[in-house]
Amino acid sequence: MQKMVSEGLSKAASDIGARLGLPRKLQCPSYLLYTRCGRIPYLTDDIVEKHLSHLAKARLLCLPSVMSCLPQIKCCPGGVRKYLRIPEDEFLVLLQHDPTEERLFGVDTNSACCVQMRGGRKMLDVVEYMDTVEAIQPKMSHFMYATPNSPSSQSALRKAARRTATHHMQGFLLKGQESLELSGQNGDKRTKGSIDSGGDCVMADVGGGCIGRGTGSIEGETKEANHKTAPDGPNKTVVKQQTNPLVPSIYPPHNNSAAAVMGIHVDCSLSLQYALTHMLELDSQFVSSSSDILAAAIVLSNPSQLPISQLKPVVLQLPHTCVSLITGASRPDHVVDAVALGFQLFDAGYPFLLTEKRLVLNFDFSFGDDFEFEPSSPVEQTVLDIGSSLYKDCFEPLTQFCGCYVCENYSRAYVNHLVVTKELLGPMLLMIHNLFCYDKFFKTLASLLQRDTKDHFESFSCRIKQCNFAI
Amino acid sequence: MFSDELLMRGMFKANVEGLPKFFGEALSFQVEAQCSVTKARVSRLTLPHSVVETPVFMPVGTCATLKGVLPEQLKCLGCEIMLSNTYHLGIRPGADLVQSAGGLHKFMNWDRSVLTDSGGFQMVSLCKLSSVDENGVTFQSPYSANSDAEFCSESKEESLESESGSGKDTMLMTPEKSIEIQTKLGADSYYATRRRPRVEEAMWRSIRWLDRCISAHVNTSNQNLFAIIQGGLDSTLRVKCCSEMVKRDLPGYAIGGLSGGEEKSDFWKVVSLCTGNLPRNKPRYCMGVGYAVDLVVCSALGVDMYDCVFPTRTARFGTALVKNGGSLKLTQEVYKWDFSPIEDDCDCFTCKNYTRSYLNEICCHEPVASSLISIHNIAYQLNLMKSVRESIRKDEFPCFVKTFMKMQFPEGMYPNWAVEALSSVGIDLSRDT
Repeated sequence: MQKMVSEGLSKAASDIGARLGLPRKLQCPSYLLYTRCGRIPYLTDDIVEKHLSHLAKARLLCLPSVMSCLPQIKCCPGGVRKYLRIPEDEFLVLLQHDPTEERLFGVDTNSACCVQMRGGRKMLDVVEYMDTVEAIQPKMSHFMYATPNSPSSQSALRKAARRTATHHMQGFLLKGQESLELSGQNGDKRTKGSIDSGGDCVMADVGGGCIGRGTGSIEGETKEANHKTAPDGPNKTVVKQQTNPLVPSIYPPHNNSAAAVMGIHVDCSLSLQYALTHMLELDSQFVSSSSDILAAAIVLSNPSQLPISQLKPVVLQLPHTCVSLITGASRPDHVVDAVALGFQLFDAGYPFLLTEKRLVLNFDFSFGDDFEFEPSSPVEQTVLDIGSSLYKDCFEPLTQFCGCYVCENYSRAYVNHLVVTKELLGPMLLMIHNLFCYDKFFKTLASLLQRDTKDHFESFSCRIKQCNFAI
Repeated sequence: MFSDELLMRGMFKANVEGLPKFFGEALSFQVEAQCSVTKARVSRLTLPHSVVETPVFMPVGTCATLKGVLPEQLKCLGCEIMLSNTYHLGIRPGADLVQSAGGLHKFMNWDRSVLTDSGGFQMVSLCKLSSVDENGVTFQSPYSANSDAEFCSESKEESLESESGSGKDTMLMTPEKSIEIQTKLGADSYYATRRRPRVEEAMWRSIRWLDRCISAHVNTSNQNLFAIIQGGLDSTLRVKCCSEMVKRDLPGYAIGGLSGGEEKSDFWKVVSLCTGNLPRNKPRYCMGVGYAVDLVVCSALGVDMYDCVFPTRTARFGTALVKNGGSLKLTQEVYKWDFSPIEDDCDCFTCKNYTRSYLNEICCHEPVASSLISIHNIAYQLNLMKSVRESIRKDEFPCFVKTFMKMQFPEGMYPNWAVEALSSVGIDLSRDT
């Protein structure tokens, strides 16, 4: 455990910019800014540029918030980054699900997955999904995967795995070299190799059976894939019926110079056992030695029910050199646990969730030369309910130690007034403060790990875990 | 340059010969340019916290905040003065609390000028919750559990919690109470309470209440008390009210009682009548006016100051204000594919960085859209007033008005009331000069 923790910390503290081919360093552990339609919620970019300029240059886009503007993105001169006003040098990750939202069960079909957008639900097939990936051009994304009808039913999990396998195969083929024509549910037709995501890292879900042992050729037939086969020839492609979803069936061809699968995606939010089963079926020799596996993403939904430490068996299966991202575990106490396992990237959903509940992060993440973490506030006041009448006539700053724009210029009484009167400025100020604190937390972590002071990290970690982070 | 202290002591020497000027304890007003055709003028209004050029549009931050816009964003737009509301702040968070915070400026982190309305408009907007007698106006709180007001936005549980123990379900707003609250808030200018319906009775009561406000006004060195002219649409009453209130020799005058949905054909006549009967050397403020056409026309009629929730409120519904045609409803499908900014020649942050298409996508869905469109709309209003001032200085105001009206109404269908109003001050919209 100690060795693993040491190795984990060492990995967690690396710069992943070079590994991912980014234009700038990305010192880890770091976070992906949580956005909606490209924007940090509540904040205009001039506020971010002026008061939060030190935030990580990495952004998370979630499918539900960008799907509706996909046609516009495709038509906009300058593409997605111009349309959504995302800097060219910013690291962009696209995920199918929003880590701050509840997952929906029982809504996917054999050929489509459900995306919960603000205007309602949209059923997305693989053609549309891959279109989205192509349009957004993220540096990291994953093939479409299915959510089971029920998270606890084994038959539902197996069915979801079969669907995922089909989606992955189709997505893989759209991105790959096989001769195939696919028809989407809207009548859109795409052919093989017609998706160009520029060599960016696309991850495959372990439930999709796309990662594992193979011979370089693919044979079989399917009843579920909604495609027609190409004429007979050396590149004839069909898919074997997945009667046992735990048997991997597709392997990236050795001669595929542009590997379609460059990462592993593991959805642990539904069932750790489900994820573990698939992980253990991987060709471990392939996985651990493959330099093509750039990244791994673990998806969680409720770390309170699934402690981070239980991910250890999953983490052990991952290649040592891959960049590891975990979503749904953005609370500081979950972050320190994940960092100990070697996770490098997190989603910054926590400051947003705090702001939505009108809560204030009230914890001093800084430390002195002696690395001692003196309690700056009682643990029960780690998070403040600023709308409480307790703060109505409190003219102190939000926190005494923060130094952010809000703490320098406004009082608790004023922010309380804004929250009580439901003024829009309230969540704006809360978002600035909470993000500022969250960034400080990550900088403290990175600094501790850079100094290679494992004991101090553990001291910091213990201090964090004593706190009550509310959400 | 002269310090604020010297100005407030009336030691400023006028450098514009022959033009009206006034120097009070907490305000100085200097007319710097006069249109040679209309009654429009450019003036410099010096208040304790900032110098304001008029005609000026004042954005409204009812509850000590402009919805979705930081004070520094307002400053970047060039805003020197904004409005807050006495009644609403008196309820929440309360005048005593704001006073304890060091006043409204410190409370909301705005170091430029603030103007507070007396609460008189709430006699209209909250008329179902108010009753009036000679003593004052009794309001039932719109935030209480027993309120029937449609704008009671809080749940009953929240209302009871916020009001529990405070006994603030009702508030008696007397003239003295209004002044007391406004004194505690610490605004640069504030207003006397006034009364609306049953016009003549209301007018005389407004004058009596003004006298009570004057008696209660103690902070004369740092705050200015303006009177509000009443009289409804009756010209005789309006003239009488002007005469009486001018006798009180206050530092400024507002034209009230015109935000109740009156016909525009009556509205402009009342405005013109009032400006003709108010002192030339003091600021004239037309309350609740914010549509672009109204701002330009009333400036031609001699008004100096305006306020309205319209620009920010309409922004929250996805409508942007523009020179050509007046407004864009960004929620419309047509803007989905429009990758141009709201206005090409607008310098605001929104227009420099976001397209109509993007705003169409997020407006009415993401809170940040309200902020972005509000920033543009406030920039539009402030730039409009800046253009008005520049044209007056160059003595090109009539030409500016014609160009403005052509852009607002490209098909030439000018509102009749505007045509009449402008004609009354020498601008003939039918002639191209």
